[in-house]
Amino acid sequence: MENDIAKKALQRIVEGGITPESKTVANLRKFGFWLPVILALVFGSLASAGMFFVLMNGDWDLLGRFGAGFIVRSMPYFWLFFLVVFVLLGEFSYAKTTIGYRYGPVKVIITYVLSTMLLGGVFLSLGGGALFERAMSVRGIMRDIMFNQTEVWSHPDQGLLSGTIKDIGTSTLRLVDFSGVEWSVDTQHALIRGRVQLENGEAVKLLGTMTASGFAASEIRPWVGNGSMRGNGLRNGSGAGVGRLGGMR
Amino acid sequence: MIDSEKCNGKTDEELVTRSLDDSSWFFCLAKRYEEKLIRYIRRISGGEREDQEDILQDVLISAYQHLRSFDTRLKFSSWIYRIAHNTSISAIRKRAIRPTVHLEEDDMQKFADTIDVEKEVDANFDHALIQEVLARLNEKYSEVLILRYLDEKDYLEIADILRKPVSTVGNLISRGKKLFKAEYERTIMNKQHGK
Repeated sequence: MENDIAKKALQRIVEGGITPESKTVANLRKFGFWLPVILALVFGSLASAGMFFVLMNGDWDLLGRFGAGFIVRSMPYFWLFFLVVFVLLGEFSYAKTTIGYRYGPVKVIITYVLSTMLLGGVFLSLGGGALFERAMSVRGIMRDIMFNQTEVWSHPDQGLLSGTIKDIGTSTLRLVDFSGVEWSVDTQHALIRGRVQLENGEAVKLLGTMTASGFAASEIRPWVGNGSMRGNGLRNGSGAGVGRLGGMR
Repeated sequence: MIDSEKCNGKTDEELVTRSLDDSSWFFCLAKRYEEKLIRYIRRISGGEREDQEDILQDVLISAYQHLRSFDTRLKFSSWIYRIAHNTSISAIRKRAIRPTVHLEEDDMQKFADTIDVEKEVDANFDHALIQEVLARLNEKYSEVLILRYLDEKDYLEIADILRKPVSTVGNLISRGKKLFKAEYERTIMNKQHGK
């Protein structure tokens, strides 16, 4: 009886003209299984790069002044969320490949996290940071999500203000914060960080104090980063700073 | 049809390569595995003999159609057992019935010998209960116990057949054995007390 089954199966194969699927179909199927694995790695690496970028450009020098709440608010949650999503997708997809299930989820997840971080680091070191900086400087909801500094820097009562420069004077500037409120900012005693261009339309962060007439800035930082990478910045009102501010008009 | 003499001495992988050029070579592979597979299908799906044979035919045809997807990092036996497992499960689902474990008398003896259950409950040992108890276990335990102790597959082969990590297979076997023994003893006790 058992012998009959093999014979019957072969008869069905011959009579039904059944053939093995072609190499192309077999390869396409294999590729179909690997494609999400690769995509998850690529997007996971971008998420890692974004996370590193936000962490590297955080205003961590202000921790002592603003405490633990500042850290909590400054974490790159958007990128972390996507990293987790893509790592989990990667693990799920990898388990579907020919022998992917052999390794177990923990090993695959650890490998994915380390690989995406390594590739994300490589992406940034090859100049990918400029792309992030551009994306995170464009006004809009995506900037607020990707580079979650808007909320952190929207507490003028605590000395943290941010927005876009509307007009620049000798020792003042007009700034429109991200909720649309216009501020008169006294920049007379402001330290202007190296990467700040001070031009209309530029997004900046300000440290200082709220005053009756607006905001007195003690420091002006670029929107992305703390601007300390290119020197210590210039003190407005100390000659060079004044000249520079004036020169921008 | 290839003479079965010609099949001897050829590895599964060689036969796969030859089958891709000439379907009659696939008869060697089909013949080599039909007995093992029909037993496996019977053990995990129960049902009528005709149904089991239909499943096996579908398994062999599906294996032939997907021969190019066979990856030599797996054993051919693991690969074809995987197809048998999946085809049996989907046939059970089509019939919308709970999978039943069906063991022959020699299966039950083999199982009792290898799992050592006899030693622990020897006075009241009852072969017929093995099938009953195994069928009551969660499917994830019964399927690994069947593959390990009746089909005599090693951990890696079971992992490849069921697409689970080797460590998971080890845990399932160890836990499955414990659960089986506990359930077996409970069943014996209940029978003694007429429950």
